[in-house]
Amino acid sequence: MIKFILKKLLMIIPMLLIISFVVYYGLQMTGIDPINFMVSPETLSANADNIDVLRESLGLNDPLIVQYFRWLGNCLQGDLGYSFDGSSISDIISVRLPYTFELAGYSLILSAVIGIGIGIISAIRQNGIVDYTGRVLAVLGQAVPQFLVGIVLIQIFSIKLGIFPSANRVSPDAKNAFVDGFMHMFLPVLTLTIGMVAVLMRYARNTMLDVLNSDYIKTARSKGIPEWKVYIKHGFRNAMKPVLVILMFRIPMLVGGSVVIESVFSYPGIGMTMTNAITSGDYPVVLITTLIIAATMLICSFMVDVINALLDPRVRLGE
Amino acid sequence: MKNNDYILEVKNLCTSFVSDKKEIRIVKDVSFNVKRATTLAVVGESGCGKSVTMNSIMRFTGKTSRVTADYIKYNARKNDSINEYRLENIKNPNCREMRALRGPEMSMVFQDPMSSLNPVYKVGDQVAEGLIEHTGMSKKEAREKVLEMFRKLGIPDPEKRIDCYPHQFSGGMKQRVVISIAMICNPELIICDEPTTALDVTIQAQIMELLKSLQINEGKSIILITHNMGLVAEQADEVCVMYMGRVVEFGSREDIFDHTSHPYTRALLKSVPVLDMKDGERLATIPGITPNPAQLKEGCEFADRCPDCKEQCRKGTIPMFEISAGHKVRCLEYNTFPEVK
Repeated sequence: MIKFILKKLLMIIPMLLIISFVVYYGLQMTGIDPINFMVSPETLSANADNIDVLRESLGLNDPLIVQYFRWLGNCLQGDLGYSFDGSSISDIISVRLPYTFELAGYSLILSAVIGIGIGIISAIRQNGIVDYTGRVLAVLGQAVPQFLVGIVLIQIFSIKLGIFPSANRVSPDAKNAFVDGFMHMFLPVLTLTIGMVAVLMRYARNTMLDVLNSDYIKTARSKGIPEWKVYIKHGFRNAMKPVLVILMFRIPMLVGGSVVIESVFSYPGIGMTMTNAITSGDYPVVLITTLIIAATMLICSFMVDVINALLDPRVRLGE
Repeated sequence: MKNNDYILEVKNLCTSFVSDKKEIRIVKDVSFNVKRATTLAVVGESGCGKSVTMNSIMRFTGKTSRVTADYIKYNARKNDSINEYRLENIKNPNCREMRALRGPEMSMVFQDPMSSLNPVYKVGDQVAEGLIEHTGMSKKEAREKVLEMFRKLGIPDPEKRIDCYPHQFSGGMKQRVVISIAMICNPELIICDEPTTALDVTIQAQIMELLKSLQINEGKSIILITHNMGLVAEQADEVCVMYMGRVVEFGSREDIFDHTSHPYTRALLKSVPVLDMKDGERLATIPGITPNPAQLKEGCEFADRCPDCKEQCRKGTIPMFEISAGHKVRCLEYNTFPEVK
C-alpha cells in the first residue's frame, strides 16, 4: 500500500514538469513582449539601442530552453517571478489562493454532505417525497447556469434585502474577521453548492440504487442483520466509490473553474486573478495560475487513486 | 405430534407485482409441505415462479410486491418442542421477528456466487457477520467458528483464506463461502436457489455432494430450486413441478419419474438429453413459448402447448387431484380422482 502511494506520488513530478514546459512554450508562442510592459512606446522608439541592451541583460535573447530552466530554477527556489505590473507573484498567490481554497472547501463539504445525504435517502426511499423533490431540484439545479443563480441571489439578498454584501472577501471596516468572512462567502458558497448538490444528489442516488439491487445486498439481508446495517455497511461503502471520484474531480474545477462565480461576486480568488492576467496578457501570472490548477488536478487524481485503493480491495491488491 | 413432520407448510401462497399500476399475479395458490430432513426439489422452466415463491417465503420480494397466503408455517424444533412461526402475518419484511428467523432458522444460498458476495469485505468477516448479529459472540470466537465451517465445507488452507477478499476466490470456492454464510448460524431449512447454475459440472457435483452430506450428517431440510432434472433425480426426496406460477405436479421422486402424470412434466422429462440417443435424433422440445403472465387466459395455463388439450381445459380454474397418496396433479385428465382442497 505504501509502495502504491509512493509510486503514484512520484509520478506527479514528471507530469508537472512536462505541463510546465508545455505551458511555458505555449505562452512564449503568443509573441507577447515583456519589454512593451516595462517601457512606454515613446521611450521604446527613442532608445532602440538601450532596449537591446536591456533585452540582453534580462536574458530574453537566450534560447527558449535556457530561459525555461532559468525560470524553473527560480521557481524551485521559491521565486515565482513578477507580474508585468511589478508586484511579486508569490505575494499575489499567497493572498488569493487561500480565498479560493476557502470558497472551494466550504462549498465542497456542504455539497458533499447535502448531496450525498439526499441522494442516499432518495435511493432508500425510492419514489418517496424526498426522492421526488430531490429529482425536481436536481434538474433545476443542473439546468440553470451558475452565474444566473449568483445574479439572482445578489438581486434578492444584497440589493433587495441588503443582508449580504455583493462583492469582495473582506470589508475595510470589519470588526469580527469571522463574521465578516461568513457574510462575504455566504452567497458565493451557496451558489457553488446549489450547482454541485444537483450533480452529486443524482449521482449518489443512482449508484446507491444500483448497489441496493445487487445480489450481495440480498445476501446481507439473508443474514438477518438490521436494515440500517444493510444500507450503511453493504450499500453505502460500495456506492461511495464512484461518487467520491466525481467529488474529487470537482475540486480542480472549483479552484480554476469558479472564474464565473468569482467574477459575479467580484471575489478576489485565483480564478479572477487568472482571467485578469489573460485579458491583460500578463503571462508570468497566467503561467503560475495555470500550474496551480494543473497541480490541483494531479493531486486530486492522486487522491482518487488512494481513495479507490482504500475502499476497494480489488484495486489495492491488484497493484 | 403432527406438525413435527413438516418443517415448512405453505398453503395458497400468492405473490403479485405491481407494474404500470397493473397487478400481475406471478405465484398463484402455491401449496406445498417440506418434510423435516428431506430435500424438496422445485423444478420448472425459467420464469415459472420458482424463485419468487422462495423469495416470498423469505420475504425478499421488495416493495412492489404483494404476498398473501392462507398460511406459511415454519415449525422450528427447539430441543424437543416445536415453535410455530406464522410468516404470512408478518407485515414488514425486514422487521425484527423476520430477521431473527433469517440465519438461525432458515437461510438461502443464491444462484450466482460471483455477485452474491460483497466485493469490499473479507470473506471471513462476511460469514461472521450473521453469527455476531444473532449470537452476540466476540469477533475472535466468531472467527474460530468460521474457520471450523470453512474446514467442514472443504475450503483449503482456511487460516489463510479467511482473510482473503471474494475476488481472490474461484467460483466454486465462492459458492462454498456463500454456503458458509447460509450455514453459519446452523439453520434447519436451507433454500438453495439454483446453487450450481453458474458453476461448471465438476464443481457442481462437489457442491451438491456437500449439500447432501450436510443433510445426512446434520439433518438439514433443503429446498432445491433447479432446472437440472439430473440433480433432481439424484438429490430430491420430493419434487414440486411448477408452471406459470402454479404447482402442476407434486409427489415423491418415484411418483414424478416413474409415474409421470402431468403433460408438462412428461414434456419436461422428454426434453432431458440422454446418453443413448441415436445419431441425428433430435431432442424433444415443448412447442410454443411461455405465455406472458400479464395476459393469461382462463383455464389451464399449459393448454396452448399441451398435446392432450381438451375443450374443458380452457374453462375456470383447474383443481388439483390426488392420484395416489401424496402424488398430486393439476390436470383434468385425472378428474376421476379425489380433488385436493
